[in-house]
Amino acid sequence: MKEFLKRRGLIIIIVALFLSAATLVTLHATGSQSTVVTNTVNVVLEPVKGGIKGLVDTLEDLYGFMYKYDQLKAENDELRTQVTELEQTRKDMEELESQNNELREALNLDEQIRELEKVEATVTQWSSSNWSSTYTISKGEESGIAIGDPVISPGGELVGQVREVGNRWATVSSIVDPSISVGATAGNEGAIAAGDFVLMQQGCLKLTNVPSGAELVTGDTVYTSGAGEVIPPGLVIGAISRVEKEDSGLTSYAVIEPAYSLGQLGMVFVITDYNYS
Amino acid sequence: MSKSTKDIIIRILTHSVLLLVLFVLQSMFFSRLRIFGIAPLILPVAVVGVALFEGPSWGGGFGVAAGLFCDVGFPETAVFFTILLTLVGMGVGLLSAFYLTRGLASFLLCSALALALIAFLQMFAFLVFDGVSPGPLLRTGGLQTLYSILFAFPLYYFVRRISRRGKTDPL
Repeated sequence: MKEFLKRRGLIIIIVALFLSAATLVTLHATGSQSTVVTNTVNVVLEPVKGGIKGLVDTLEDLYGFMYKYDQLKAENDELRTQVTELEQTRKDMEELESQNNELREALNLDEQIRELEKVEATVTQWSSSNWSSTYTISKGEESGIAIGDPVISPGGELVGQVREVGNRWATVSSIVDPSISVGATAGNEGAIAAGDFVLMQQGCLKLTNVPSGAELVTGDTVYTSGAGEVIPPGLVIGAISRVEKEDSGLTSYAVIEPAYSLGQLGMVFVITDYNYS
Repeated sequence: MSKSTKDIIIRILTHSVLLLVLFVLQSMFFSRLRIFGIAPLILPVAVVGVALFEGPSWGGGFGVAAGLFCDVGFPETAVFFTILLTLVGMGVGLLSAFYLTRGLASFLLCSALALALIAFLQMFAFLVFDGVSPGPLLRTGGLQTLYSILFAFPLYYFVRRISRRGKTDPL
């Protein structure tokens, strides 16, 4: 055996690496859930991965307790100040709402109602991958979260979409991840807000598929359009920071700077269902 | 319990602790300590180290475990690291049994090759299927490899020390 491995070892390694490389690239390219090979391997590995995930969660909790205490204390103080300010804002809003209702009645306008069913969760961990932008949150399937659910910040800005769900955790693709593709509107134009590998590293995403002749203006706010009925319309994605030409030179795209600073994410809300009338 | 069984159990436990500590460092500590926006990959370097000093069986075993941890940490890779690090562990173990000297130079060379292979596979899909231009991909892959290779220096002394606890047949 030793003699055989000594004579043929290097060739075996090279062939094995070549075959595995080809398999891995195919798996990577076709998506992690779509092939028989991936599914089979995942079924076998899922219990092991579940065990490791449990262990990792415990370690993360411990890490959070040890290192995030000061940060959480400061956040708590800041939040107390914000609560006081919001209380005042709420009173002002009630007054404005009352005025708004009176005016709507006077003008006979139909009211647009948006009801969001939300689950509150905290960001427990950012992925250390250099090839994606994802984070883990503290709630999962048990709280009604499903793959594809949109995730928003406390202020209501879109900050990601659920990518993978476990019982008590979920992995979220952040709004700048290359896998993100969301129907969007800027001004009166419909387009697609999509993640881009290069822009991800600048913390931005791309507004693409803009109709020819459409005017993209720096500073315009980009909202979700609700196309596909997965993500509710009217959520703020960000603002156009610059407009550039595609490689072809024929069409333009806009660079969107997310409305919410992703590095500051602590608490998020997952939209599990919504009604819009 | 015989001395050799005890040695094996101690060595498994030591490797498990090493794996856990490195995973915590990779996913929780160094993920925040990015250089030019890049985080290092420490576990593949450890797989190379264990394989180089312990042989293909230990290298492959450590590769499976390290790969599983990496796949849990990186949601974009379902089984990528589990398969690749197992092969890297077995491959480097075989090379060290027959062709390589077990020194720092071999460790650095094998680590660099393993990290370059990982970076190449990670960028390949973006390059071919997503049409991303090669410049930013090479920058990311290159920086990831360079940053990660720095960890070969401290890891070399750890894995060598662990391997000296008891000598086994590398095959």
